[in-house]
Amino acid sequence: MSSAGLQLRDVTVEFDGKRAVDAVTLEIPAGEVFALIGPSGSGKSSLLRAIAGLEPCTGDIRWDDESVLKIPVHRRGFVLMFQDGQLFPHLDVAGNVGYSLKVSGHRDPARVEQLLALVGLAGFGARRVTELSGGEQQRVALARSLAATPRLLLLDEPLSSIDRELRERLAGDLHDILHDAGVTTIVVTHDHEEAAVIADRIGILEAGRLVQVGSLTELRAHPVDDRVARFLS
Amino acid sequence: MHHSTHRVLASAAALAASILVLVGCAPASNAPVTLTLVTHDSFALSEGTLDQFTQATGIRVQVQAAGDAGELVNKLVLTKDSPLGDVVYGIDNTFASRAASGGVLEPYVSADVTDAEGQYLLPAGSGGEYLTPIDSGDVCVNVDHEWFAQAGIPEPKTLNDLIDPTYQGLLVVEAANSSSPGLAFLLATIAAYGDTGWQGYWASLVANGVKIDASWSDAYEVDFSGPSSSGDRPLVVSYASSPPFEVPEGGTVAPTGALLDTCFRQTEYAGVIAGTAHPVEAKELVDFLHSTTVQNDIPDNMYVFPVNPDAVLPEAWAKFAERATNPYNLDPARIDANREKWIAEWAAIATP
Amino acid sequence: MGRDRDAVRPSTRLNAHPATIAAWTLGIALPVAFIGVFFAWPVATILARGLFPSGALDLAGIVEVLSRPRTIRIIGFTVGLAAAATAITLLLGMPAAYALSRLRFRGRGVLRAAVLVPFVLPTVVVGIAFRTLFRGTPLDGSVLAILAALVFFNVAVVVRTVGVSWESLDPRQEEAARVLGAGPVRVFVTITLRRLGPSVAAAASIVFLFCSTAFGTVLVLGGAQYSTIETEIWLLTTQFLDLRAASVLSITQLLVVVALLVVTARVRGRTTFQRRSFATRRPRRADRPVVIVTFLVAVALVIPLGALLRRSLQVGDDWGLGNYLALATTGSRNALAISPWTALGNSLGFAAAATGIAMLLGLVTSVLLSRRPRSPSARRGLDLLDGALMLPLGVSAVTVGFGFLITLNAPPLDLRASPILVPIAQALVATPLVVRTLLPVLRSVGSRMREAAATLGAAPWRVILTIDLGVAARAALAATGLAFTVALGEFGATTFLSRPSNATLPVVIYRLIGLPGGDNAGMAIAASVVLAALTVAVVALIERLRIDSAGAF
Repeated sequence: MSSAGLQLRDVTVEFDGKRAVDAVTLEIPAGEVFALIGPSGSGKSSLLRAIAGLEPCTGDIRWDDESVLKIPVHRRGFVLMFQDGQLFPHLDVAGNVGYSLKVSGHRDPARVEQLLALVGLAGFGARRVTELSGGEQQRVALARSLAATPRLLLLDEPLSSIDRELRERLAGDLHDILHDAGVTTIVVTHDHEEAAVIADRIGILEAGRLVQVGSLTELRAHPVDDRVARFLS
Repeated sequence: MHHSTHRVLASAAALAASILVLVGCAPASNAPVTLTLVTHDSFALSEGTLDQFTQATGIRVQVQAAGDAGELVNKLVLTKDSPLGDVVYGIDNTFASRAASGGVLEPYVSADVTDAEGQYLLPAGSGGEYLTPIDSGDVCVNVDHEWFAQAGIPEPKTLNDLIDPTYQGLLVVEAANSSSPGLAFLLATIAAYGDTGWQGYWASLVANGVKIDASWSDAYEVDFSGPSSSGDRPLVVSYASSPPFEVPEGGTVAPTGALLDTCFRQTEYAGVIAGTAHPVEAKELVDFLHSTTVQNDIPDNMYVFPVNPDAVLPEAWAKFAERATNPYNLDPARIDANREKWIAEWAAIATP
Repeated sequence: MGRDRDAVRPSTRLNAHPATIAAWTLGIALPVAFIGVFFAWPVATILARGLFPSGALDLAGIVEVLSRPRTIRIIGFTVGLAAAATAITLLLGMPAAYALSRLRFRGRGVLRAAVLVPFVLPTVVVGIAFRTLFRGTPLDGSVLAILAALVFFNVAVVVRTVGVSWESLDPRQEEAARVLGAGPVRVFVTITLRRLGPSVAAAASIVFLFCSTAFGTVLVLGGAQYSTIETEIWLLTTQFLDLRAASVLSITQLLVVVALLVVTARVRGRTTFQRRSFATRRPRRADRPVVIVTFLVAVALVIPLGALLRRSLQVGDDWGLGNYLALATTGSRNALAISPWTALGNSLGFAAAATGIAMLLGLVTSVLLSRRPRSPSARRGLDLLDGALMLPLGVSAVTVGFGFLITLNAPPLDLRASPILVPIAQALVATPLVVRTLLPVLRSVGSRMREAAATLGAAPWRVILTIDLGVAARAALAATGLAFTVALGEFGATTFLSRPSNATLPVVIYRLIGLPGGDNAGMAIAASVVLAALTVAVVALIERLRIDSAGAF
């Protein structure tokens, strides 16, 4: 059987003998935006990092039916965007967005400008990243991630460092941008409303185990257990 | 065609040879011999003097300074198993015994040394078989003539005068544990007052307000009242050769002088380093250092007297530099055996 | 907060790729080999000669040396002198650190430069400057003169180290305490000092390290009366060849230095590297004493250099540039083998080579040390490397130099007569300062920033080049300047290793003041002014780049 997109098979991440991610099996078809939710400490970020290649894991991670476990981080084509953006302070906005292009040897100022426009920051290229607001920084981080034309985009709590009002608006923007770009995405969040706005499907992680997958409506209608029900209420 | 090939080969060979030298390999046997002359830091000759040796013999000389006389000898002792060079110059009579007993020298004294230099020769067993005298200098108390003339006080003459209350607070000396003239002055007092007397003499010096500086430059250039310094003490331990330097250009009177009854004689020697790969050439170099070519060049470059009686002194030296007729002296073996003990005792008295 | 969000988790694990492993191995091998061949081996060999004279440990000899009254007195004097100098340095440095990092006022840049410059001045220059200043006063040759010179050197360390963390303290905490009714002294003691504690402790231990190992300053200013461990090692080694006693003192010194490094590492480890900068503000009434003290400190630091400049323009009883014109000559009565200008050329050449070596080693080592590998043993190994790099600061140049003589004596490493040892020895001293300058900046990069770059397609070497070195570019420039000035002024090892024909300017200056003739002394002072001016110019260039982190130990 072959399928396009991401496949996780029994992915397990251990820290000092404790399982942070416990045998997660999941398929995400190409083009889907998938949200991973769960309480703090449930292993969401560890799973994301394992997929990116930043944590050693057991099991298998496959893309288009080929294992990527042996491929080093920088060749996987899986871009991870951190909660706090991790913008490079010594580069300006355009330098940050164009980083992946420079690294791959394809400088393209027009594409950088186009991506800045896409995230609503046209003309910000020459700004220092330290001068930006939290929301602007996350937009730059998103543009930087998209510039790499990733096979898979991994967003780790992309909106949590932004205040609530702005967050709701940005969640809508994020949904539009991701779907317009057609990029396969896993977004980690602890806010199920936000997950519902951004993603097509939602997976719930509890103590490292993927306990349920579905749309928010489905999950609310048929929670597998009390804890899921409580978490979604 | 042939010609240019030769040149290419020759330069390649030269390059290879210099690489070999650079990485420390011995040069090929038919290459010109290069001797390393290990010296103290004050070694200096006019430009071209050593070249005359190379022109005459084909032997090249590379000079390697290795600190002051004590440091030089100690380095030779430390590196006995893989010598620093072929010839050493700058071992003085206070360290000669250590060099001799340390086994760092080949037995050789230049055959050109004459009876007239007998006063400079070391006793057998204290380096006499190993070292050829090259130059000598007297460490004496220097006096600022002008200061004493103005103050209307008669100048002191002897070591004993220095503990006279008339000369309270007028003397500056160098520390025996950090300065070569300082050590020489201590040795003069030991020679003068004996094993049991010098301690009392130094206690009197301290009571009489002697100032003890770390180095010659501190004492001479900072605390001495002479023309080239700015201090206020008219008596300083320096060299008998210092006064000529204070004579202004065209001057006829020396503003300072040396007290010739307070002197300790330092003689500096050259020798062949044990283990040299070129003993024959090394001996030639020792002979050359004793020749008038070098000896005439010594006073103006190293401020000491040549030992060779045939050497010609510079004019100012002939006029203003004096030598002690009967300087204090100590057996080098005794110096070497007691140096640390004396310095420790001295430090306890002089630098409480 | 859950484990999966833990930001300080050690990461950037060594990727299993063979090329990567090879690169890291090479990266570790380079500084280890350098320190091993040019420091550890020579020093260990010379110490072994002293401690194992006949192959077995000479315990009785060690006890004998340690029970000599002179040994005890010298150790006591060294510790006392360093402690007093450290206390005074802190006392004067703290107000300056505050004023220069938190307040904004006219002339701040000039004050800053005045306070920071002495640290990089050559010891010989400082020695001559203080002697010129104190000449004819009772201070001449006194303990106070040594203390003054040590403080002069080290105020910069306090201002830099404490200033950097003061800059990143959130002033709102103090303000909150003030609002709650606490007096300024109380606020300072209960809030500010407590938060500054680690950096004050780090600064104090570094100053103590520098003061207890000072060589040139003590030798030039101390007269014969004052021996420290460092000058005693020099005396015992070069004059008496008493390697046993010298080794015992060296080991004592090493133990003190290691203890200091451990303390520094501990307090440094507890400091979280959050490099924030809060806005400076205009001084208020209450800040006036602090600004005045800072001003006075700066003036006091400038006075010795002023005295030097003044004296350099004195020719006999007249004023003029004669001393400077004489720098093209070899001094009166051929005092030198080369002219001071030629020596300056040598200095620049050696310093450039030393800077090259120090930057290569420093960059590689800093990048290594900024990583926190997962394996505890690898982490401990890196900590050891960090400490080993600092050790040359605490070992006498004489010990290293004599060690060279009995180790680097056979092909292919017969370097005893080679001028290459000069920049190597200078680099040994400069490299730890380079690492201390780069490391805080590189550590501020954080593993997640590198991970972000990696997922964007950057290979590990590319991450180092574009992220680590990108962020640290200005600090690297500052470190280059620091290494250059330190190498330019290095005296102890250089005087031991250079030859008269390729002497450096500090060595020539020292020789000039040691030779008769008034012209030579004037030349020495003019040459000191030139050396100081060059050093100041390099420092000014660094300051223009506004890199405050330089020297944050």
